[in-house]
Amino acid sequence: MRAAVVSTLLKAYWVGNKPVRTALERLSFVRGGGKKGKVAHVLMTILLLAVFGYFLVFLGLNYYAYQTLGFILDLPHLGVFIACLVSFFSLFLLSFTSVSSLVYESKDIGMLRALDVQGSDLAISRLLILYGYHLPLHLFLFSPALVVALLSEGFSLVYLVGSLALLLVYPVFPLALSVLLTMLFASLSRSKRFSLFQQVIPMLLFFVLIILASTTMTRFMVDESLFSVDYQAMQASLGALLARLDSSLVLFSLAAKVTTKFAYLLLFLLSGALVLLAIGCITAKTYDRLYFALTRSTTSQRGPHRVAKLGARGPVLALMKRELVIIRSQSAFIFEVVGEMFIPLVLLVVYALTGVLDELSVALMNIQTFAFLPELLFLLMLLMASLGMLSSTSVSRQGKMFVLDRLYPVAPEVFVQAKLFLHLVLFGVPNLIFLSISVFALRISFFHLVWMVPLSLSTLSLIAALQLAIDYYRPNLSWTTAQQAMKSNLNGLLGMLVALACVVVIAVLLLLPYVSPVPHALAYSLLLLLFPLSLILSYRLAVRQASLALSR
Amino acid sequence: MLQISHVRKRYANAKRNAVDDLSLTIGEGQIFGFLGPNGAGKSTTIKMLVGLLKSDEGSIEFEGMQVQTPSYKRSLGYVADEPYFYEKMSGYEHLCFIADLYGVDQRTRDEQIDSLSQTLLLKSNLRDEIASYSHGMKQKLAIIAALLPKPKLLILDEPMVGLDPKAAYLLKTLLGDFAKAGNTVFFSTHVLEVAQSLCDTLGIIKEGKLLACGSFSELRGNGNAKDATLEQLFLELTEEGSVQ
Repeated sequence: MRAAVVSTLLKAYWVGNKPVRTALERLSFVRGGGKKGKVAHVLMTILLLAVFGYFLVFLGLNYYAYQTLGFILDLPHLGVFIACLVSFFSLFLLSFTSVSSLVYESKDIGMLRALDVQGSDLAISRLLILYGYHLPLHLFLFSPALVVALLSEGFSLVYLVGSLALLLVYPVFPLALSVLLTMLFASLSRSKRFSLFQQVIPMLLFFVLIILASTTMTRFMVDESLFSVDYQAMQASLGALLARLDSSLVLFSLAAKVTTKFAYLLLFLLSGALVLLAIGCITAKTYDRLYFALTRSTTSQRGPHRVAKLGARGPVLALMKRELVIIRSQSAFIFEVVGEMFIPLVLLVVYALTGVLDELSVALMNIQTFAFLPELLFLLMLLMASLGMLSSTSVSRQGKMFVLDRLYPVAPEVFVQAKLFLHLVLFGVPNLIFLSISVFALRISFFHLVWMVPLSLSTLSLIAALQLAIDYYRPNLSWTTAQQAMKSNLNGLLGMLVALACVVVIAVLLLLPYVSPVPHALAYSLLLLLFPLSLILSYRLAVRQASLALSR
Repeated sequence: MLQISHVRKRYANAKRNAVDDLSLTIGEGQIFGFLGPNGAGKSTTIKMLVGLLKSDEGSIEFEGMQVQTPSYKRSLGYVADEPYFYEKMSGYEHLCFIADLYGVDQRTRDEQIDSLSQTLLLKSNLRDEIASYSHGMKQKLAIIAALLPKPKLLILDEPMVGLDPKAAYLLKTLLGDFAKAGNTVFFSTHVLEVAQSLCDTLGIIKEGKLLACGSFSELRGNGNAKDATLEQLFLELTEEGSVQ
C-alpha cells in the first residue's frame, strides 16, 4: 500500500464527487436564485434542522431514560451502552448493503484499475471512503449519548478524550464486521446470488432494528410524553435482558465505560487499532480476487433456457418493465423498494417478537368498540404505504440514462402514467391486501372496503404524482453510487413529507365528525370533492414537470 | 428533407458559439457526412438535431416536422457516439423495449430484429446481458435499435468507432441501402475514407461555423485542387479556417 497513492485516490474521489457540496446543493431545492427561491431554501433548511433536532432530542431522552434505569439496575453506563448497540447495528446493517457497491463495484473503479494503482491502494482508499460515508450517521446516533454521559458523570479529561475516541474510532467495529462478512459471503457464494442475499437479509434486519428501537423507546413513555417514563414497567420488561446483554456483549460494555477511566480508553483504542489493521490487511490482500469475483457476477450471460420471445406491449407497460429493470440493476434500489413494500409484515413480526402484539391485542379489544376503528385502521395502513421513496426518486434512479427519455417518441404523460401504475402495483396492491386482511382480522364490516379501496388507491396515486413532480422538478441524475440516487436523495425526504401532509389532511377529514359537530356527510363530501380534484391537479403538475424535464 | 436554418448554440460561460449560424438542407435519399476537428461543433449539432439540446436560435425541421415533437422523434433513428443501455437487459429485451415505445407490431419487429441482427452479426449474442457486450457489440445493438422502427431519418455520431472492419463494411452497405430506399442519413465521422466513399454530400465545420458544403467533387472545386483527396481538402480547409 502506498500512502501517497491512497491520498491521491481519496482526493480524487472527494474532488470528483464533492459529497458535501453536492449534499448542500441538494438542500437548495428551488432552482434559480430569486427571492422566492431563497425563502424556500431557508424554510427547507429550517424544516430539516427541526426534524434532525427532534430526532436528536428523542434519542437523547431515550438514552437518558436508559441511563436512569441503569442506576436502578446497577449498570451505571447503560445510556452509552444502548447508544453503542443502536449505532453498531445501524452502521453494520446500512454499510453491509453498500460495501460491495462502494468498495468493489463503484463506477470509477474500472477506470482506476487501468491506472498505476494497486489493489491494496484501492482497498485502503475505499475503506476510508466507506468510513467517511458512515461517520455522520454515527455522530448523529451517538452524540446525544455523550451529552447524557456528561450530565451523569460530569466533565473530565478522560471524558473528553474518551468521547472523541467513541465518536471517531467506534465506527471502525461495525464497518469492519460488514466488510468482513461481505468478503466472506462473496467468497463462499462465489458471488452467485450474493447481491440478493446482501440486500434482503440486512433490509429485513434493519427494519426489525428500527421498529424494535422505536417500540422499546416509546412504549414506556407515560401519557405519550417524551419526558415521563414508567421506570417500573421498564425494569420489569427489560431489566434481566439488559443485565444479560451488558455481561455478554463485552465490546459494548467496554465502549460504554471509555469516558470513565483511561485504562478502558487505552484498551478500547488498542482494540480499534487491531481491528483496523486486521481489516485493512485482509481487504488489501484479497482485493484483486474479490474485485474480479464480484464484477464478473454482474455481467452474467444467460443460457439458452432463458430464450423466450417477448410479445408486443404498449409503451406504458414497456416503461413499467424498464423501471423494474432499473430497480433490479442496483442492489441499493432493491433494498429500499422491497423494504418499503413489506413494512406491515415486518412490523407484525417485530411486535410478535417483542410482546407488543399481546399488549396490542388487549388494546384492540378495547378499541374494537370505537366508532372510528375503520378510519383509524385505514389511516394506519395508508401511512405505511405512503412513506416510501419509490416515486420521489424514480427519475433520479434513471441517472445518466434519463437522457434517453428525451429521444423516445413518447409523450410526457406516458412516462408519468408508467411510473404511477408501477407505484400502484408495488404499493397500492399490497396496501389493499394488508387492508383486507386487517378488516377481516378486526371483524370490521367488509362494507367499509367500498370507501377504503378507492380512497386508498386515489390517495396513493395523488401522493405518487406529487412525489414524481418533485423528482422531475430537480432529479439527481449525476450520481456515482446508487445510495446517492435513493437513500441520500433529498427528494425522497421531501416526498415523504408531502405524503405525511396528505395523510394528515385525510385524517382530519375522516376523524373530524367524531371530534366536532361537523356532520359526517359534510366531511365525506369534502373528501370526495377534494381528493379527485387534487389527484387531477397533482397528475397535471407531474406531467408538466415531466414535460419541462424532458425538453430541458 | 432535413432543413437546418440559421441554428446557433452557445453553452453557458462559453466564450464563443459552439454552433454558429448553421444552415443545411439534406434531401431524401442522401447520405450527409459531417466532418470537423475535435470541438468543432459536430456533436452539439447532432444533439440539437435529435432534440437533446435546444438551439438558441434558428430552426430544425424534417419533412415539415419540428424537432422534439413526437412525430419528428418517431421518424428519427439515432446512434450516439457513446451508446447508453440498461445493462441488466439482454440485447433482445432492449430491442423489444424500443419496439414497444415506437409501437412496432409483432411481425415487423420479429422481421427487423432477425434481419438486422443477422446482417450485423449479433444474432447469437442477443440473449446475453448487455453488460457482457464489448464496445463494438453495443455499437451494433445501438444501430439495430435505431433502424428497428424503420425511421426515415438516421442520425449517427461517429458510428464507425469500435466496429471491426467487417462490421464497418456491413454498416456502410446498410446505410447505402437505407438511403436508396428514399431515407436520409446524417452522420459525423473522423474516418475520411468512409466519408469520401459513402457520402453524397459533405459538410466541414470548424469552431461552430460551416466551412464548406457540397459533394466531394464540388469541394474539390472549392479548394482549387481538382486531384486532392478528401484528407488534403479537410486539412487545407480546417487549417485556413476560411468560412464559406
